[in-house]
Amino acid sequence: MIDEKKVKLMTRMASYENNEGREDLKISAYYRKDYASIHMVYTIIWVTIGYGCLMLLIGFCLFDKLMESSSMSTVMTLGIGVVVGYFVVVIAYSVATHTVYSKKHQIARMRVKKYNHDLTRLLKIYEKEKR
Amino acid sequence: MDGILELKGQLQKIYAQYSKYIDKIIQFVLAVFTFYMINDNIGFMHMLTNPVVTLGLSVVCTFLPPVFTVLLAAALVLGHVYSLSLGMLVVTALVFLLMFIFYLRLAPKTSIVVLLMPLAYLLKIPAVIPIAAALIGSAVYAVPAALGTIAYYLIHQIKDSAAAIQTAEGGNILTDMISFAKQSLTSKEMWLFVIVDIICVLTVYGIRRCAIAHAWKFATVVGAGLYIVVSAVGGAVLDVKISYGVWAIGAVVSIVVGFVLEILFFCVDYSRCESLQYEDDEYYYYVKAVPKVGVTASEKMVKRINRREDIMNESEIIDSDELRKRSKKKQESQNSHSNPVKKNNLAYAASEKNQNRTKKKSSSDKTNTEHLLLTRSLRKDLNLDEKRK
Repeated sequence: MIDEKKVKLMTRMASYENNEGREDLKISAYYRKDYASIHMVYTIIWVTIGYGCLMLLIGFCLFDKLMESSSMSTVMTLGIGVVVGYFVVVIAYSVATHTVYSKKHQIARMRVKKYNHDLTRLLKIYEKEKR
Repeated sequence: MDGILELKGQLQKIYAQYSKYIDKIIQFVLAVFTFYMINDNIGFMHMLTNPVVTLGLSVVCTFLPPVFTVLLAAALVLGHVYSLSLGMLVVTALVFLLMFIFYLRLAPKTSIVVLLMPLAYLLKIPAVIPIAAALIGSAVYAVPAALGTIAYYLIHQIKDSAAAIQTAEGGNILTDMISFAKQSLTSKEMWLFVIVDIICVLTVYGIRRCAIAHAWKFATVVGAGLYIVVSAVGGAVLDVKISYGVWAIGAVVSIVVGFVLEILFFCVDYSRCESLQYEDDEYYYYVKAVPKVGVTASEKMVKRINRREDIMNESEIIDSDELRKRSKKKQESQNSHSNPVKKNNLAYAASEKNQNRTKKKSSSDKTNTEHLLLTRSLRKDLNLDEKRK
């Protein structure tokens, strides 16, 4: 006989496994701190590359002006501005990344917990059937 | 209104049934339009402008997430720019890389807005996308809307500076890069519309979230109006030429689209709005409850209560005399059933008759056998059988 409860449970679990479950199970393999930290490292690398690209583009746009005012003080001011700007961007993105990925991990863990709960329920149903 | 809501219900039902295929078709059509638009505007590499390539890329994009359509579109643009100038290619690649690093990498699901924005500009309805995105999505959609605007103006700039670069002989890569970066990234018009998009998205989203009656309608109209006003004021201040007629038509279209989206995603009845007030240990609550309007599509079901196959068909010719006879018979039978005492008496009489009949039958059987036996014995006594012989 088909057990309606079991079918519902299995359908829900299969749907989860095929959609969000794939990523959630990968995420839940990490601790929250580790997961957020890894993504922070990636973000710092990406932002560094991005900031370099941005400076290059700004450099192309302001090429003539930079060539005209090539005094030491101007170069120093610009250099300090670029470095400060870099740290500001990196810190801002790191904080945002930590917040976003911590929340992502939290939500994924909640879904995985629910999935595990369903799994234990299913196991109990199978045990009952065996008896 | 009921008809529209019923249509909405039917559409929802169809989408729920075939969402997998509908999503793929939309993705394919979007990819075809995007690649066609790119090839039509900056189709400098003839190999890539081939319709077979466009269709092939579109088919590939259909089976991949929307962010891949954005990446392939960027690759197509870079391919065309490469055939034009290496300097332009570097600048374009840097701009796309920045878009990817700072936003698309973090929110790939909103990348569809980046694709839709240039298409809306080509159709002369750019106000539609920021308004629609703010109505359906969140304030974050201001970023992809702005990036889409930058992508459109970049393509526009490539198209404009192509002739100048092609005619220039012995162009240096560095000079090409500098001149193109200056032209494309210092475009006042581009930055004006980036700001307009951001203001529009934030305003529409803010009004849409307010607890006021007809918030969606109000947000749509304000958003469209604001788009025209800010672009006009900005155009006047920055000395940018804007065709107000076309922009006004775009604003009207965006209002229509906003109303359609309201029917599809936020259909409520403000006339039945309720204001509630209650409290618990810590707070007083002032709640405004607006009921949703939903008309489910009526399903036509034919239920046959008395189905008899031997009964006359609809096409049968009715004989009036026969009908009268039938009705008379029916009436008679009803009359006979109508008097319960009579009915009981009749039933009793009938049962007595039956009993008598069975009695009679049994007695007659007995008498017959007795009669037979008697006749046989008489015959023997009177020697009748012998006389016959």
